[in-house]
Amino acid sequence: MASILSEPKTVRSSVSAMIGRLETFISRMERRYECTSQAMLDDVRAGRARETAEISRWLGEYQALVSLRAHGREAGSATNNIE
Amino acid sequence: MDVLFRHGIVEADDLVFEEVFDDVTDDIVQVRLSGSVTCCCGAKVKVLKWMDTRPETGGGIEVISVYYQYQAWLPATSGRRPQSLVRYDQAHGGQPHRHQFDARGQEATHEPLTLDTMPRLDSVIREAADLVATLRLEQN
Repeated sequence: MASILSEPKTVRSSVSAMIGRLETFISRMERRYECTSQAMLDDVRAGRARETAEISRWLGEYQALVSLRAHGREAGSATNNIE
Repeated sequence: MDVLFRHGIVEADDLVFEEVFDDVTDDIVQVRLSGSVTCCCGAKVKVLKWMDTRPETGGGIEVISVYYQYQAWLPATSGRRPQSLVRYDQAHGGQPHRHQFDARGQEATHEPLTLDTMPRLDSVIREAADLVATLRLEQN
């Protein structure tokens, strides 16, 4: 396995492709926990749900998805069609 | 961070920076760092980091971290279950937290941090190696 710490590996993804990947991951988590991402975020913030590694990762990706969707709306790019 | 290889702390990694670019303008709007680091002591550190970008006056971009998760653990081996060591993250989308685990893998402390006191990845890797050494001393 090559090390990237001295020579980082960098790849590129379009906003729309990344939104699609995040939506797939987030849908899987919402099915597993039987709640929406926003409901889980509210529960963690209120201390009603435990902040596990998996939930933290889910919510991190969810917040990135929200940010990328907002960028699509602001920029008027192809991501406008993805909700 | 390649000093971690030279010092024999890190064995390998598969970390990847992913530049997320606007479909129309081609500008980089976010950067995602993900993957894992394998330490020589056997610990693994899983990494997820999201960074926003802002244009700089000189034409470059400024990168600002907006989400971190550094999760260190000892993977399962024959006769040993996986052992959580320490985790830094910010599930709330606000200030980060440090979660430390005891020898049974139960969360022992849950400590709020600030973005200023959030350690860098190289510090987390060194901390994971120290926690493995401590764990092994306690078990012997």
